[in-house]
Amino acid sequence: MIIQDLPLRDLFDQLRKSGLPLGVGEYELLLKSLIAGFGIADQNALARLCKTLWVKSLEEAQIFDYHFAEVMKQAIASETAVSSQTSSAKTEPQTTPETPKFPASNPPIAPDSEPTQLLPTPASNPEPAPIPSLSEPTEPALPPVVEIEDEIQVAKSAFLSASSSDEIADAGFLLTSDYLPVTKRQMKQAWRYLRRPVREGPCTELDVEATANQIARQGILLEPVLVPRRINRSELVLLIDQDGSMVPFHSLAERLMETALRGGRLGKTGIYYFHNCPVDYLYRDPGHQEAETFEQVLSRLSPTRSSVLIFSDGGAARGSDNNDRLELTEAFLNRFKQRVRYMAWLNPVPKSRWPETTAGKIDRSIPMFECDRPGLQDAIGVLRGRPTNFAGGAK
Amino acid sequence: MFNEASKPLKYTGTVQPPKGDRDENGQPLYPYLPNDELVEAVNLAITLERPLLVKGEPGCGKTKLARAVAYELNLPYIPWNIKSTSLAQDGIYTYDAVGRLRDAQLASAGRITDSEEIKRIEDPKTYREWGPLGQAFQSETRAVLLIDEIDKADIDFPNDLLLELDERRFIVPETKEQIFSLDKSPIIFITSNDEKDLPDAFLRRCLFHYLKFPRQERLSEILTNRFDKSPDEPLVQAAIERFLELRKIMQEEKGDAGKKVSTSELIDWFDILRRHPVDEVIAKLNGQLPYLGTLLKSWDDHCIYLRQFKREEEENE
Repeated sequence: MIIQDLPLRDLFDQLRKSGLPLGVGEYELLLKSLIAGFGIADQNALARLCKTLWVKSLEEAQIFDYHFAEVMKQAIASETAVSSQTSSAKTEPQTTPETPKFPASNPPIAPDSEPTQLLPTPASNPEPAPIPSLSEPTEPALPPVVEIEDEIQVAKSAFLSASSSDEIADAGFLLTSDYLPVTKRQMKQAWRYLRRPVREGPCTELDVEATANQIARQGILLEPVLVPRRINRSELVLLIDQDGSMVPFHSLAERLMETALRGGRLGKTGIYYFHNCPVDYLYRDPGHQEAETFEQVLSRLSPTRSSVLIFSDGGAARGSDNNDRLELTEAFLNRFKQRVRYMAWLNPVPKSRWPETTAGKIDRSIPMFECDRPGLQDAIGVLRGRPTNFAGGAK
Repeated sequence: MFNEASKPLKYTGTVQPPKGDRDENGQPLYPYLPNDELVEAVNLAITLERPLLVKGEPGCGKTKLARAVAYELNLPYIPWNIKSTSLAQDGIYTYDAVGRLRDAQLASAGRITDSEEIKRIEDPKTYREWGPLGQAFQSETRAVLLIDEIDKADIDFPNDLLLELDERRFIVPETKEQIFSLDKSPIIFITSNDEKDLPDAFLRRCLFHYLKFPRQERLSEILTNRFDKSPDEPLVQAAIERFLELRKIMQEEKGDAGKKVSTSELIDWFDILRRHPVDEVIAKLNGQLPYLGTLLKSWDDHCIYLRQFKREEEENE
């Protein structure tokens, strides 16, 4: 195999579309390794090399394997097509638009700066979706693992939402049964901002300024002034609405939960479930088996450190306007507000559909945000106690 | 073992310490038998001068890899064991400000009069102590730096290391020193137990390798090479077979995510077995496994095994 003929650019683009955090530097790294003599023995060696360079977890390895097989299959098909063509009709190699053109003709490092753009930034092409073009004549077969499909869809829908401003619901079609406007990576990035550093624990850090002050006062160093280290003491309670109108958003809720737990920054994460609107009880499990009363949950919250994030559609998914629900929700919010300072509401339904529903009314008593990237960031901003554009009660 | 400056470094995984050899700290050295993919990844990390992030099941030899590479290439080995309180700064240097203050006071009080001593305490460098990363950057030859269990530290820790890992330089403001490591950049291994996700900006700079569980032949090689006195072949085979059976049971019961018996536990277990007469042990291996405590570390695991064992016995009867 000749390096120039390998569809590495294709592979690279496909992986980026699937959400792997790759930049042009990673591509150069691959070329550098190939020149250094790695990964040129056979196809497996190449796959191993690409994996070592580009893949950072087992999940990504699955995505990689899938795309590598796809790209290689196409490459071999096109190679045979091209060779048969050139042998029969050598005179007109350019006039065969059906023949898939692979970046074999491209120089390895394309001069255009396109690949340096990060995935979520709006792509330069005005088309909203990566429509299979002529260069992809064979639509990929069904992926072998569902999870892969899932991850690809996340990236695709994030891509969609990025390229067609924020009107994802009006984009006309969605390929996926799940609505996933935020990728896991974006969630993780957002969670990292949720922090409340507190000096706590044994005194181990030298406070230089205080020590200098003390020497100035006393004229001699008697003992250094030590302070405890800063640690993150932010505690998050996630209240998740389950079942009913929330069924389409279960996987989104799960992602939210998973990234909050594994994001690592939270001092303590509590996750509770409810259905439609919490009344007296919250549940520790999605099946609503282990109940806890509001009092029990509230007693565990710290007034200064805890923050509460509610994930629910607030009736916006079905477009219902229910006064009972509104009253119950407000009663529940009031009880929590007496105990916790920072609360926010994340609504998976786009904002354009809140008016005339219960959600639109709840929006007046608690900061409510759409579940996209800016919304998640704003919600976390509220949980940190930062002012946002929220105009509570202004309507 | 030959380390000529002109020759590029290449790890083969074939040079092993002689049996009973010990390192400079008196720790015993053991052979490390990597598979070809791992060797390739290590060489890639050496050539591209990027850190190699190693993940894998607990007890599969993530930490030992760095030691083995350092041994074969005859390079200095600098381990940095991360704790939950570790700060990135500590890895580069620490500065004893209190000590400097104390000495300055003693000098001004006339308690230190020796001119040599005064010269020493006037130099701010006296109070600066290099951390593992600081040492590795200044090593005369390329050093092998191990950053062990990076996921234990605060989530900001990896991001705090980005500049140092990227540009291989750092500044000590207290002494106004600037340290470069241009041609002798350390070979860096990072291990993670996946307790926390690492930030993408950090991952982007690393190469990644997932250590797979060794195959049966490789396991028997590991056991044969591990001990001073090579154990009997039939004993090794019997032990490994039973061990793999146990691992399979655990895999079926607990799925891929649960903790399974690992290579390091196999070595411990076998270390006890080999101390007994071979015939006796092989007879024991055919019944309920002896010394289960070295293999199964939780009551649940014991129950899983005992249930399975009982079922098999009933079937045999």
